[in-house]
Amino acid sequence: MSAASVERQIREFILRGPRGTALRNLGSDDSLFALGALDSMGVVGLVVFCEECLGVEIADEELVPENFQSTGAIARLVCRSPRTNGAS
Amino acid sequence: MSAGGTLVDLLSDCAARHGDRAALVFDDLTLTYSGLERAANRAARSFIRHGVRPGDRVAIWMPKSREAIVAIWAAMKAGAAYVAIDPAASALRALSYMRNCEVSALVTVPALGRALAEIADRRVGLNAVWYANANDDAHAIAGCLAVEWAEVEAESSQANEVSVAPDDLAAVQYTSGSTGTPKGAMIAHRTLVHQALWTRRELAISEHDRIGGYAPIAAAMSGFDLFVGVSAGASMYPVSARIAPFPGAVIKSWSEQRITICYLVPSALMMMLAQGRIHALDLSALRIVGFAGEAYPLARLRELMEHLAHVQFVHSYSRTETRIRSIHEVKFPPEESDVRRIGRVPPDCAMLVLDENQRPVRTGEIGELWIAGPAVMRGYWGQPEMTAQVIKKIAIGGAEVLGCRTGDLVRLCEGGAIELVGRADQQVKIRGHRVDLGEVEAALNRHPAVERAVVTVVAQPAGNELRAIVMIKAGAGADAAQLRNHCAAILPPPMIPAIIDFRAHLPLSPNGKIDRRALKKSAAVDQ
Repeated sequence: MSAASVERQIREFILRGPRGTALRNLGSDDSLFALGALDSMGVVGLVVFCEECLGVEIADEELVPENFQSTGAIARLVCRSPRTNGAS
Repeated sequence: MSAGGTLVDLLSDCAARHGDRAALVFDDLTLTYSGLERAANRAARSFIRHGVRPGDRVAIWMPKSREAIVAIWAAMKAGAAYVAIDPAASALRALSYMRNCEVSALVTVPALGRALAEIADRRVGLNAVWYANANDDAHAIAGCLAVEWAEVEAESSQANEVSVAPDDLAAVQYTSGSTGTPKGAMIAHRTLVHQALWTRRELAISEHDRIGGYAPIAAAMSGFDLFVGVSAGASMYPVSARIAPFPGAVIKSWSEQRITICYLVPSALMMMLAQGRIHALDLSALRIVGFAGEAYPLARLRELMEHLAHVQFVHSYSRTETRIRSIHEVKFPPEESDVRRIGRVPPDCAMLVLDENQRPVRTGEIGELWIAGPAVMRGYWGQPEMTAQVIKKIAIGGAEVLGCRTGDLVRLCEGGAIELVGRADQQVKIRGHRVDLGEVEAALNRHPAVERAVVTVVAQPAGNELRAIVMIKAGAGADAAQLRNHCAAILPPPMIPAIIDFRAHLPLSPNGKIDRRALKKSAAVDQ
């Protein structure tokens, strides 16, 4: 799974959220928090998505704003997180 | 500063007395009280220039930011009421609030403006939209003028000529209602000033305090963060949208900022305790932790109090419609009554425990809590019938007072103390947010494939979750993801059911109503 493909999947996940198509110009480094694209619930949903659909385990210590501020930052977090067994 | 003033007076007085003190510290940028006063004057002039008139409403739909807070003060300085809308609300829901109270102006960020433009094909009724943090192209909303925040900065910082009176509306605050019709509580300046001054006195808040502002600006609890500090010259450190989802990061920042007071929901405190490594942080500056909005599980409260032995814990009670902010100091070790006891209230506010005929109950009995006095809202915007259901004249000892029913069931204890027991209706709390189960059911029932839906609350280790039990129409189809997306378009995030179960039929009680108790029991078995 390449970093670019991870980032594309995360971007698609966020675009499926309540903000939806209004975020279609979302750039790799745009602040998700300033755009209102991600709130507490959104972070929880995103972590579940990364763990269940991307097959990685996000450690509690990684739940910090720096790792979730943009789609690029989330993709980097996913790429360095340990893979769970059996994930594709 | 008399209790009869306005929030606008409160800020001007504070700017005159504590002009050089920090009013807002946000992402390491400090705005002093005179700076906040000037910034609000500029934005108020811009609002007025583009058509905001005394008595109007100004919507603020954006993440918590310096501009959002300046806009709240500016709306009030222009003589308007502010209408803060959760930035996580869908555009459809935000629009329903804006249409309900006919806002004349909106302050937002470009991404939300675009979301609104996509659904608001007809004229929204807005004169103008202000775009804060504009780093990409603002999107035109049909029929309204777009104003960049940079234009606001060019306005004069002198106060405008508008005069604001204590009985004018300061805010319209939307809350969950059983029918799905927006319920906007109209709150007068007098009410919020009264609440701020009472809190300042009871908690001895001074210009040396640093308040950690956790509550979203759309939540009534944010009145503590926004207005109590201004009544005392204290500094407010709003938790930005960037760190708010990370309780561990919030408590760490409070340690670094040497926060002295915070006021928040127990679910947030529990997450800070679970994720925040509190034992390793220096929280010696912290002197008061106030909690309100939902029940605090006693064991979790005790655990936090053990970690923060030097801190005064305060259980408070307040509702969107009745801004009373009671004070009950919790002593260690906390007892069950501590998380239920309402505590003392301002001397000019009355708490009445009444039966269904609005007659006082006897000591030891359970009744519904009614509040009278300056803490009471003026009513729900544009909903006289709904208002008449909650605000009524009550005869007390020969006198007649205007009381507001809270929907909270309480026990009148020996010595006059009042303890929360439960709800008289279907309202529950999800992570501190008020959720009326009927509103979630109404939203699900609007989906074309749904025959009937029932929503219950399930207690989980991390807090309450909503569980929907859905019966699909014969020949129709919908899965949980589709129903959740349908809800997300019309309901705010805390109201979207976490669990959706499908049933071929729903249990009915003997009178043909859905048997909620049987459903709750089956939910417990499923886990």
